[in-house]
Amino acid sequence: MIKTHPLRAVTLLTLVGLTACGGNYSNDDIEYQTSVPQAEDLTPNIAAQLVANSAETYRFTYGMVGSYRAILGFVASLLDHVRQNPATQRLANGRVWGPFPDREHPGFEVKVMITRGGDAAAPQFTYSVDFASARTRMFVPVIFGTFDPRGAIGDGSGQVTLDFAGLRSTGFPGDRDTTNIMKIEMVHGRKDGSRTLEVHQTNTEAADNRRTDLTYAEAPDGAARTHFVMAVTNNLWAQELDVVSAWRSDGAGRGELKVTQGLATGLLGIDCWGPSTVATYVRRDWNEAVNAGDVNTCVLPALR
Amino acid sequence: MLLRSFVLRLTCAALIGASMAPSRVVCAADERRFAVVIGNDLGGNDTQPLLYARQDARRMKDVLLRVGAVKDENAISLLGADAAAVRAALADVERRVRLATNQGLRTALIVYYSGHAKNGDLRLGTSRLPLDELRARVSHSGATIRLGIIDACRSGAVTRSKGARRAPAFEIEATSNAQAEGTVFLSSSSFDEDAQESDHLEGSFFSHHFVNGLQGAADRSGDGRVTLSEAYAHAYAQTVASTADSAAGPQHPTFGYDLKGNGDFVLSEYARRNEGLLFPAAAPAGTYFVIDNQGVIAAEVDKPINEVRRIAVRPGRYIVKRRLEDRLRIGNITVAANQLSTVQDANLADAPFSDDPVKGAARDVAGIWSLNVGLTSQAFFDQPTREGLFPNSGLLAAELSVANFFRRHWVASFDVAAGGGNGEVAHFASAVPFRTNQLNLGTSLWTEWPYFDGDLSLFAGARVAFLFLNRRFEDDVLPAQHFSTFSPGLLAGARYKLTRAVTAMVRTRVHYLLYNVDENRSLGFMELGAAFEYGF
Repeated sequence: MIKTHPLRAVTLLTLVGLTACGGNYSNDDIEYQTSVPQAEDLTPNIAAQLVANSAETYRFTYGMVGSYRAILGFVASLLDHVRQNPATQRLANGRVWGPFPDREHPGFEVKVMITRGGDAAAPQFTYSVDFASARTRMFVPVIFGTFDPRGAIGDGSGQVTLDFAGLRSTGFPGDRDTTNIMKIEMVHGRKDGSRTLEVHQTNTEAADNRRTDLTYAEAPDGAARTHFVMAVTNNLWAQELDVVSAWRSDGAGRGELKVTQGLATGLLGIDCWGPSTVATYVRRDWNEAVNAGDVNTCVLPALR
Repeated sequence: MLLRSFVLRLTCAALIGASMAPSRVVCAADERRFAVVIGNDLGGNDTQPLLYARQDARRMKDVLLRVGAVKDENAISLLGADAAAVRAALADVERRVRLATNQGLRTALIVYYSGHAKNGDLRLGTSRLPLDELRARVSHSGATIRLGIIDACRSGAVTRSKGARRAPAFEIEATSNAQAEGTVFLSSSSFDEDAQESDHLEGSFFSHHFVNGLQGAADRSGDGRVTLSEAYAHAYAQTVASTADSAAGPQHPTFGYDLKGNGDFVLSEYARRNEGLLFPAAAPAGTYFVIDNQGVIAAEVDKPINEVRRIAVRPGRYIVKRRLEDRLRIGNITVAANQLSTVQDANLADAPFSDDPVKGAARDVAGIWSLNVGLTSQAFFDQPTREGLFPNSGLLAAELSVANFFRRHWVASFDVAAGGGNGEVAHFASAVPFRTNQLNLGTSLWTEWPYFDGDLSLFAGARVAFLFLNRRFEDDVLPAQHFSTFSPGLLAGARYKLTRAVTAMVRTRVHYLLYNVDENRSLGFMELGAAFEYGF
């Protein structure tokens, strides 16, 4: 029979107790955790699901928004890690999370650093998400930006850049959605339930379109407006398209596609749709055969 | 000085009834009596504090005022006083004795002391009063009868040099009709014995039995009066019996006297006060215990078969208990002012020994367990901390404590408390509401100072707590946060005994907390609590 000396038990209990001391109970952490954009700050929303005969402009908008959400969701999940986990290291004017393994990409590690600048009345937070292969551990800034968190919690504005070229330099495996992206720059803002988002995507020469610009605005009731400007290669008729879509909170809306560069410059296509997203009015300047419906069914006026 | 013996065969009542030549028993009402009652629990650094010396003095003064024919204006009470105060009191009483003597009155002086004595000195805190000096002051006070009662360890020294006797009773031979005058000293113990205290009695054995005797228990003759020799005989027998099985061994009171004339000295005329308990002749014989509402034995009455007994307890509510071989007989009785309440056996009910109402009767007094449940309010001293980090909290607390485990009047406890509060953390121009949840585990050690017969106790001590805090933000806008740490602190408070088992308690704690998440910060917080405690 093994006897335990009482002092040993007391010492063990004391050590267990001491190691239990501490925690993440921190007001400063809150400042840092709320000084990176939330996932939804960086992703546009779409009102309703597609159906078989959804309006064509709505289909286009839905596809574009979906692509962005797929790309930017990756960024958002990394920033959400900051919000949901205590900092690994607390510095005088900064916090560090990680390095921690990227669970979705084995073999790669992520480190997030946020630093605070400015003064107490007008603080400026700068953040950087660095990637490295676990083999080299040479961290490269891939996502970096600034954030002004003033306002209610969740509100704030900032800009962020996603450097896909830098990401690929770490050996990070690309996918079909991001292979041809050089970088994405975003300017975002949220206040009192409304939000705005600008996305400027620059692609490689191998892409069909060298550049895409998205402007998104959302009202507190869910009504929203998207504006894409897309540079198109290898198309003399339409070298740049300008697509504006807007919808109410019930999903009913209007879309306008305009050729802004190329031989067909100035031609306009209009779709109006109801809450089901099925077209109620269609007009195409370049093909009168498809014009149909009653313009009075459009719930929104002209978008430009 | 002539030492005499006197056999107490004659009583005041008998003499009055016989209306014969001068009374040989000095009745209490025939003289002016003065009393100096001294009680001091402390005896200096080389002694352990006593628990009940002051309590003994209070009881002695009370019984002398009620049945001992001492008027309040002639009684001086010195509780916790030093030697200088005692000397001053003796000087004052000597002056008053001279005034009364000059008026042609017989006088009696009773000096009672309960406290420490060591190496021939009474210990009064850090001061000392030589026993020889006290004996001389009493002996030369000028009073007709001088009685010194010393309840202290080795107090037999006060009687030793003057024909001290360790005997169950003193006998004075009646050879003269002159009234007795002179000096008598009683001591609670022999010159080589300790005087013992009892937690059951909440007093010393000797003083308890002496006071009980004056209330009527010592009245062997049944004449309604208790003479000095009756009181001594009773106290001697009961003290020896009570301490026979104690760890310190039996304690033997002693006496010494220097008397002229004869006649016994009536210390108490308890029957003149028509107040107390009456045990009628028809009541079963045996020892009756009268227990006060604190569970302390207020009186013990040995009732012989077919005889009446009275005991002059104070007005109040009592439990009367008689112990049989296989059970107890217990009943409640109330003594109103100026009323004699009769103890009827029919009003007593059978009860098992486990229901013994005497505090500590069924167990050792050491290690008294109790459980208290109450509410605690917690607040940090630093205002920004209180507003945005650790908000004011309310806690439901339970504490299990054990008293007298390490030493008397020391209490160790283990406590648990749970609760929380609401706060807001500033977030630039806005605020984020949050709610904290808190779990505290603590252990404390404190010492108590009882007052008013133990009804009220003040206490102070130390505590170490393990705190676990968690906070959740409104609508879960941020992930939950937690913090845990050890926190040392001090505590103080007061307890008031509501019933024998239930105590009300108010308490404050002041704690130190090292907050080390953002940076190292020394914080302090205070807890105010109220609880009800149940003693098992």
